[in-house]
Amino acid sequence: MRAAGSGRLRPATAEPHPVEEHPGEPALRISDLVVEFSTPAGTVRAVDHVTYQVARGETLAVVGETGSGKSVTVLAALGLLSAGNVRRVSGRAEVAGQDLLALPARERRTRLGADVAMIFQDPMSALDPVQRVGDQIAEALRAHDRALTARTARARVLELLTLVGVPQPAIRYDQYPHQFSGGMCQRVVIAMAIANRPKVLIADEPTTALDVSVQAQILELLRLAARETGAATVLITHDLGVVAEMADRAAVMYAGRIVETAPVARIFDRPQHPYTASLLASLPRLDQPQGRLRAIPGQPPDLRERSAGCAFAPRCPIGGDRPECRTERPVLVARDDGAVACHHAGQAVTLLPQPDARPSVAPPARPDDAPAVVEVVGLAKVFPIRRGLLARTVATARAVDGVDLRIGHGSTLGLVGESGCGKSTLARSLLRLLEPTAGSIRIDGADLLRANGRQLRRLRQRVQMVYQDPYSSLNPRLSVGDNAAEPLRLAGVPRTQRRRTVLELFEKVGLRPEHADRLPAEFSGGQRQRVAIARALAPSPAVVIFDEPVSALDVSVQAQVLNLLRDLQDETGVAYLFVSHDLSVVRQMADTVAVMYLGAIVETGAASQLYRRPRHPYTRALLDSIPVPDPSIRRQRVPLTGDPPDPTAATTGCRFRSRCPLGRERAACADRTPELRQVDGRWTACHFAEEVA
Amino acid sequence: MTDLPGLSRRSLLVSAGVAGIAAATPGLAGCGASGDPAGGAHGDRLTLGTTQIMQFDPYQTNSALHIHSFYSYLIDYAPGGYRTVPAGAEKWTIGSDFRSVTITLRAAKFHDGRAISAEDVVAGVKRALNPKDGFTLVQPSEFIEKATAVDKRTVRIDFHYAVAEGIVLDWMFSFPLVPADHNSGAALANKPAGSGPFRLVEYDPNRRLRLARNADYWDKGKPRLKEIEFRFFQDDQAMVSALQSGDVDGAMYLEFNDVAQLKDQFTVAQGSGRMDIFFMNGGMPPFDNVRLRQALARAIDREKIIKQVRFGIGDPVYAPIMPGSAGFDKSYLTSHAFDLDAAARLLKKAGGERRATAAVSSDPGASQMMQIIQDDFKKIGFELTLKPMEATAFLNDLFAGKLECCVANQPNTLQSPGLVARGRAMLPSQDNVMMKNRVPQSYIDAVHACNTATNAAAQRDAYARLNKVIVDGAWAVGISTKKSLAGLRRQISGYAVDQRDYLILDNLRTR
Amino acid sequence: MSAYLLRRVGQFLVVLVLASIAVWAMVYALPGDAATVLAGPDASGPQIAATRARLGLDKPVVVQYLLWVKGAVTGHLGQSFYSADSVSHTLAERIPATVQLAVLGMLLALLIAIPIGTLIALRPRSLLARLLHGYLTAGLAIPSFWLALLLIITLAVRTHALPATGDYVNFWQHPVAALRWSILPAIAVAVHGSCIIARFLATSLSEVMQRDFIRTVRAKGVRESRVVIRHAMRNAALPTVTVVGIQLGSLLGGTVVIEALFNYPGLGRLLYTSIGQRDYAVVQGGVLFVVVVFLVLNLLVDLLYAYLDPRIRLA
Repeated sequence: MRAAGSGRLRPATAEPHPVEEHPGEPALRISDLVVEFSTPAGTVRAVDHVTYQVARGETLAVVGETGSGKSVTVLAALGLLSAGNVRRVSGRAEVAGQDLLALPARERRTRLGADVAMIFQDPMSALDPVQRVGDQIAEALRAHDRALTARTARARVLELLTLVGVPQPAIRYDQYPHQFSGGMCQRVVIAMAIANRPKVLIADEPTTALDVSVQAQILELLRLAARETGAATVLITHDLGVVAEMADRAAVMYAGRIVETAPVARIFDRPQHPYTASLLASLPRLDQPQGRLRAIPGQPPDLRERSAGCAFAPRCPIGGDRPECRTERPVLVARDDGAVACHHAGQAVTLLPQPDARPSVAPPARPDDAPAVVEVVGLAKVFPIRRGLLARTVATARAVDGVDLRIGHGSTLGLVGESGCGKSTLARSLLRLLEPTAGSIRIDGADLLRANGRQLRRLRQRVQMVYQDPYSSLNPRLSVGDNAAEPLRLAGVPRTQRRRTVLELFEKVGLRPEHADRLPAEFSGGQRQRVAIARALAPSPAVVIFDEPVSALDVSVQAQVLNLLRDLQDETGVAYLFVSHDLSVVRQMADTVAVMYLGAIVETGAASQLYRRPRHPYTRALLDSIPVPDPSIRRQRVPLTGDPPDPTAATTGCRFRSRCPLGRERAACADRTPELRQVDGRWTACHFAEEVA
Repeated sequence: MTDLPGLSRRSLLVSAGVAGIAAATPGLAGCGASGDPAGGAHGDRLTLGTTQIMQFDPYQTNSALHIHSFYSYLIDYAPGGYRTVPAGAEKWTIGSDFRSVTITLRAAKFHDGRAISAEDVVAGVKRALNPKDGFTLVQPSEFIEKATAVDKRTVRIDFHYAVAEGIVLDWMFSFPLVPADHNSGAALANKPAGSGPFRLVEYDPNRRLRLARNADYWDKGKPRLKEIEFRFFQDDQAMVSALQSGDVDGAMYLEFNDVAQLKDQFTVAQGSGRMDIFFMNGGMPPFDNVRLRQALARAIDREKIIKQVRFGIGDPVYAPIMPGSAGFDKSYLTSHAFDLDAAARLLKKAGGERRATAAVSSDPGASQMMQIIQDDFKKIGFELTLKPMEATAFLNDLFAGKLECCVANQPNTLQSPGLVARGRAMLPSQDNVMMKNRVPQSYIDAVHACNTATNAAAQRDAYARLNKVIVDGAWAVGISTKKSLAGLRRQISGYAVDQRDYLILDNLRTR
Repeated sequence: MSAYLLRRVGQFLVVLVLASIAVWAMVYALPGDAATVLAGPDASGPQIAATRARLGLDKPVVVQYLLWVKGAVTGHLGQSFYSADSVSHTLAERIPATVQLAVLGMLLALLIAIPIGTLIALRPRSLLARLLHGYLTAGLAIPSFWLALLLIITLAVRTHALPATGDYVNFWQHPVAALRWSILPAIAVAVHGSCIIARFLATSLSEVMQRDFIRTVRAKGVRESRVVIRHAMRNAALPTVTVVGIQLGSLLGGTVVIEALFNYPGLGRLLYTSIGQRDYAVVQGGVLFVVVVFLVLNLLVDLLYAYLDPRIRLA
């Protein structure tokens, strides 16, 4: 409890109250909830007879992909759906026995924030940008207690801020959301949610928008909040690791319906529904040997095309062709300590990878002496910060500060770090989209930074990039085929040859060549990312830079794309620079890993070594922060405190010192900047690497 | 006029039911709230709208309709003709050799209380003879040699040569009495110094001019009104609306197309006005060809222009000589009538370039007028390109002699046809902006003959010569008179306009 | 903040100098001068030359400009060619009239725009919102001079309910008369402005209502009225403030057409007349006032922006 540890765990004025053991009278019971939207394409049933309940003190995780209806369910229950095209909301949503949906809107509103409170996904946008943070929390108090004076409210808010671990609450009270980091904003939102000690706490993807180290802190805080208020918690998430860490029970949703619900241990251990099992199987994991991921084929269902049978049938590895799956919609029936909606429940467990049976297909780590495709030496990029009358440079932000990198032919370098660590600046420097301040970059031995004119154009063909957001990285007015052919056009390849190459590539990346003339808008996110990959591979580059290529994709699609990238590399021998904040994904992909912190690489080495025995306290903390999708190994973690620091702040000594769990008071850490040195078969920049176990 | 507020109140009841802003109207329509700049005559005060700009120097006669309110002139003409009425001059005697006039001034006072003296006239004449400061009085005063004060109220004016009586009278009619020490363009630029029926109370350029009765005015019983306020409008339509809504009691210098909508409810008064003349620049091709000018002069359809552009108001003229003047010979209207066949014939003989550019001023009607001329010219094979110009730019180019042809106004010639030579397009010298050094000597002679013809026979002869030389010279082809129009509430009477288009306000009254 | 202000004032002066040169150049580029106008059509060449000399128009343009600058620096904006008044005095008489009309027009516009914009944003599908949409479309499409004529004919000429002409009466001295004499021109200018502002407000308010933080506020159990007024409106005000600033700027610059139609003695009419008369000093003074108004309003909008948006204030 380091995150919130600085404050008292409970406001002194608060009544101590017993935490009821579940099962008991459910604090929240949603029954038969149906939500429909009218769209130009017809009525869409986003939530289809969903029923679940949560008892006081219990945490229910609702798991699902985009469009599964997990968020719409609670928003509808609380009357918070603001879309103008809601066509129907029916069913019951009882909080402490009172059906919210039966109440007039005005009265229902008074229950919100008092009986049931919500925590939202993107904390930065969840707060009113023009109101003081403290006032926004006070508003939650005063909305339900008109008699509350401003002075008392302020005192209560300060207690709440202390409770959720916001340092210097008296100063923070009067600040605005933009002066808060994402993690701090989420703390504020949580303070707001628990201000009136609600009976039900609903957290909708509360950590998705946050960095790993901050995610761990917020999860801790949520646990604390639930314990403090004794509330029933509904945790909506797509992250199975979070489920395993946090929940007592889980409900898995697919296409607007609950397909399986059971205690968490049982879900992970013996999933009954093929979708649950497939999800678990498709996850890249930190804790298990690497191999090819078991991707779920196909796309998440289009709710506009509702079939009579099981919504998962088209993608199901079990039921696939059986007639009952196509014609009859399975209903949720109790089974093995939970409930499942599948005609063939029970067979699903076979889908889970068997740790020992799983073939060790991890390709042999490519030898380090493979010829270097990319060689970066001493790369630095400094951004001036200008202020004042004459826009003088008052400070500099050292976004990248002396980085050396080497990517061998056909190998993958994983670049890991939190937001603001400089990984994107580094990636963009490799394309010379940014002009580095110092250092050298060699592509195939040619000096990128000295190249000009035609030389530069040729070198740029050798380095290609795939961006995070497939929705904005394709030109919406060009057909996907033309999009993919763009680098070839720039290289002066004649039209017919371009066309031929693109069609071949489409085949390779798993797109149907006959779709090459369609516009990007007709494709899903995963398919668009395939187009972007085809585009990157078109000019036969030496290296492709992937900037968070799967973080915008659903879990089931993520595995498909990762597998594809692997296959393509095996086939073409292209080198990858794989930039991500997601350590599991990097582990899945990378031969070598470099961990970046504040513009510098703090540890680098072979992936297997680094993940197994991290030597830098930062690497160690990052790995610790990641929730592992295995409820049996809920660890007592030591998450990092604080936020990733501001790169403009001048530092001497070790840049990680302020957050280092090893003891930040040591003189050496303050005096000397640790250089990368070889420790235990990898390079680590820590004076006390030997102490990290 | 005391019933006016009542009228507003009655109409308020009508509007309150209809208007969307009914809630706001009761307070607003309460007429006569203090600080109200309202029009609406109150017995002895009137508000008049005008679109003209104002200035106070009586030596600058253009667009100064109110000037007669501030100044007394030596004589007035009775409305509608040229019967003399003593004004600033009590009596006058023209010397038997027609080379002098002796004037006895009326015992009267300037607005500042000083008595009008012969020295003031002497100073005034001196200024009129100064080409740099005499403005529009320079040309009419050209025959004067000097002025001498005989005694306090008698002044003798000597001429260079024998001058027709009409010229002397027209001059006296145009000569204002101004205190000697104020008589300069600079001193009068912003405030008047006269002895006329009204004094200046307030002048806000572009907004209003307020006049109050001069209690010391020599014509006892006048003026009849205590106060007159002019309100300045940029937009004729706004002024008409103001008249219709009762914001003003009268509107001066209306446009011709306003008459139709006003004549049923208001008195529409016509002043003699000026003349519309079609000028052709004899100083540059193609109009340096006199036969071409003569040909085109026959292609100007006066009747059509009066009917279509002036809505039937106005009389045709053949040259810049006003109907009613002794020199106006209406036979020219038939002998040189609109005749396209004759024009085409003449044009064929004339030869030369068959195209020109016509400048069109921003005056209302100017463009329609020029279009009619353009159409007719086209029918005889002469291509006229129209070039619209902003008012000041037009004036500038006109004065610089840069316009090939245009329609411009000429002032009233009063009773002396020789006054045709006023205005820069008609100057009998090489300063003439239309003819420059090609001004026919016969024209210069004819003007001089008109001014110096002291007996009836000589006058007849001189006028005939003048008419012929202007018509034959054909650089200034008459179109029609351009009446000045005013709309007034029916309750107002005593409105008059003199031959220069000055408003005579001293007899104005309301019923 | 002070550095910011200093920089703004610096920009200010540069714009002012450039504007003054541009205005001077443009007015001089027009053919004809005040001497032509003053002397009139019957004047002779020497008279015009004399008038020109009296007005100082015979000097080279640059000299005239520099003389004007010299005066302006010491606070004398020069003299009108047509009246005894100094330019500062002439402007000082017109500016209150224009300001009063602009403020009244803007208040009316806001009075119309805020409820309409809010209603359209909050209840976009209601019948009333559809009707109001019609008003916005019509209000933007109808030229304001046409509306002005309509107002004059219906409310003044036909019914005599209000005067057809506008005039300036000091509001603080005679509020009723002041309203009476400026309400019609104010309505004529307000309608167009109200439509623009209402559209902006509706767009930004409905956009704000879709933002995540509105959901957070609702989830706190806050009354919907408070959600709208305290949270949505304040955020939606940001882009709207800019539009209001621009609108107010153009109103303060004088609305030539409306002022001419209502014969309202404002700055626009003064400038219009003065340009026609080539009254250089008045044009120059008037245009510079308009430039200053725009610059000041811009600054005020920025400051208001900073006040409303802490992200700017505390950046």
